[in-house]
Amino acid sequence: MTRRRVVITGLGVVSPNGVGLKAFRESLKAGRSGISWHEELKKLNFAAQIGGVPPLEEEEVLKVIPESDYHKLSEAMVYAVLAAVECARDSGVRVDLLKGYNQSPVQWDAGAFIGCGIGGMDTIFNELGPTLSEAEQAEPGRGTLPMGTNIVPKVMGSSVSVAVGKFLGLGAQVSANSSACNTGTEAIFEGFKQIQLGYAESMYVGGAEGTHYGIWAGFDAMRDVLCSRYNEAPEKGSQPLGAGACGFVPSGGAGVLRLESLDSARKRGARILCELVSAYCNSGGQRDGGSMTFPNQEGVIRCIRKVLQDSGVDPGRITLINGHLTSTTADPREVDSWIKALGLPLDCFPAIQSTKSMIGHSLGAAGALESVAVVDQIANGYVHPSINSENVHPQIQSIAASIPRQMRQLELDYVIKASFGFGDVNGCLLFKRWES
Amino acid sequence: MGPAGAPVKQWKGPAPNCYNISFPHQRSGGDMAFKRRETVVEAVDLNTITPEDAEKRIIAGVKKYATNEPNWVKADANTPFLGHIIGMGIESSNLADITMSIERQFLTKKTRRVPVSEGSSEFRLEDGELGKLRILDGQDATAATPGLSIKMLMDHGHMPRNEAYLGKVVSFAYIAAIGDGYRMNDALRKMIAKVEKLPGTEREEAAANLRSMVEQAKNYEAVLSDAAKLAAARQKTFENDKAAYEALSKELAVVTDKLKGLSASNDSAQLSQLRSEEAEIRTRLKMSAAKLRVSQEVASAAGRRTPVEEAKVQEIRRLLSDSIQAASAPFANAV
Repeated sequence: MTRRRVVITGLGVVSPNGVGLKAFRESLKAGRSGISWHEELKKLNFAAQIGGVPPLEEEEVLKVIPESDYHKLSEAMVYAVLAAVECARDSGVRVDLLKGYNQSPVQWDAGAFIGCGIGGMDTIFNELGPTLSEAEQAEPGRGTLPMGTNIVPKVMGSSVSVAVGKFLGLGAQVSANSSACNTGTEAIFEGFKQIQLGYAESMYVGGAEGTHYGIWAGFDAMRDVLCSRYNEAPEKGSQPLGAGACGFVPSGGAGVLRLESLDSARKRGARILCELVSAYCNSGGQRDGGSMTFPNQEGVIRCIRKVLQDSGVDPGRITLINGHLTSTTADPREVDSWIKALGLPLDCFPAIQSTKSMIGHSLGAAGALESVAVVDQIANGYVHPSINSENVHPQIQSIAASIPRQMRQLELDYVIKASFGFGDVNGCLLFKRWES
Repeated sequence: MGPAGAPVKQWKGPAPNCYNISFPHQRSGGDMAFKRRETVVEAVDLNTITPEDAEKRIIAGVKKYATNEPNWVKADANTPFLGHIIGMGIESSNLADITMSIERQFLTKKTRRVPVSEGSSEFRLEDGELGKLRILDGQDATAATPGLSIKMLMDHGHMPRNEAYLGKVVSFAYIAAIGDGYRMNDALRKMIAKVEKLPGTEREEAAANLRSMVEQAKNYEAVLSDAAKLAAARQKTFENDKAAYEALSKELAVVTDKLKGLSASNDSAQLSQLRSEEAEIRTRLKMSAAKLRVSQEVASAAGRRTPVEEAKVQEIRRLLSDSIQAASAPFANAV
């Protein structure tokens, strides 16, 4: 079967260090952290009291989303819709939801694959839980009625994707995936396949995650999984590759990319940002050191190598790795996996960065936000710094020179990006600079 | 007990101290997500406000759920909740939201629930302590507009009857009839636009559809022009619904008789089958009764036409006439 070429023609982002592509890019270049301390987490006696929350006011949301629809969206859905609308506009589509969207024609060749790691926890806590707690006092059959009819669409697994499908009028497959921290990357892989195999000409892909403390609580309960030692210095909390890495910093947001067949992009004269050359997802089977919460290294290496094999690209041509790198004790092991998978001499090891150093770990949105960062770096020829890595972790001193501490202007030919998630699942993407 | 004999935990919802935290960012000092405005609705006693004030509150509350924004920008007493009506009433899921929105905003003295008759499973509300408004099952079947919602509240004694206000409210019968007209007009306009764009054989096929739609629109415009004709059409619908209801009632009576005869015997299999049959018929009967109530209301009101209704009818007739005229140009070219 002939596989069609897939390019990226639009980006949209809602991130803790910038809402909108312009603000996000400026923050990435400046090495600006979006992590802050939250009094509420202290009140709830969380060990880790820092997190990354998109700096977004309701007024800004209502400039994009009609108020009557806004009430029907969970926090993650709002982020996904904002990012998708920006992405559509960035790719050259005119979208103005406030002027009415119901009458716009269905885009039969365009679909969406946007995932969510945990889902509408804000809706569950604020609407569903309180109603249920009062339900036992109500008459039979009436107990659940006060929650209204918008609950299901706000908590169902596909909520973020179908919200985007609704506003953009998408007529190809509109679905969602969930594979923990690999969700965003996996969604890109799913959209990639849809276009490669000719099921769609264009796919909005990515991930979204809310910031409700209910999402973060389970990780806090695990201790040492979240960063609890930097409550006094939140911006220093996310230290991927750093000597002081002591757990990840939770965050939320959304990243959406528009994947498009090369034919379609050329036909409509779209601006092409880069090419997605190859993508793959697998699992380590939770064997040989792999578990529900830790990856089997062989699975990781196989995933990266499969992407390289499919693309036929020599690892020596890769100029940048955007790692999963969460600021946990797993970072040195991930670096070891990259070294083994690429098989390059250490003095030829490509630059390696972690976007999470600035935005924290946004779970289901992470792979998507980081892929937006990758595509933006390729399209604009720069490498963002991996902050808080001045003191490199003792176990990865061998690649210390590959970690960018300052923003660099650099033409990036090939950039490889990976995500790894709970359940021992892996995802890897290979992007290539577009030369018109 | 769980499958392995372990005790099953009953989920009681989040801990109570979570309830006053509606969104993380609303908490003092916490700035964890975009802030949603807190929508605290202070409920008022329906006996202390005017119908116009109640109408304003209903419109504001329903805006939260309305999906047809252009329709709702200028919403008034006679604006259907979603701009369209489905089946016997407004779309049921939205009706639930709208009713809930109304219940949250008002207090009433009709809070004591009593059976309609002894042993009946149907209830009515009588005077009691001032408390939360409760709309009983089926009472909201025709509350398709803010004005009709006020009428519902008056009909059930939650607020004093105000004939001057009700005189300005378009009846459910005309909301439905006018709604049908708008739907037909929209379909006609869309088909005209479609025919103009289509090539060759597809255009001919679409033109044939357009021709049949034009005929339907002409007939409907004629029905709307004469209140008696409209009443006759609605009366026919009511009679059909009534016949269906009576047939179901007979079916139920037959099954009930069989059950009585069998209850003395020990044929549990047949008994069980008959009971499930009875339950199914009762469910259908309940739905049929609701439909009948609506069609009865429509049939009885369609023959009378208030000045407000007359104006609305003339408006949709004008739109239909324009569309019929517009249809003739592309239609003629296509064929």
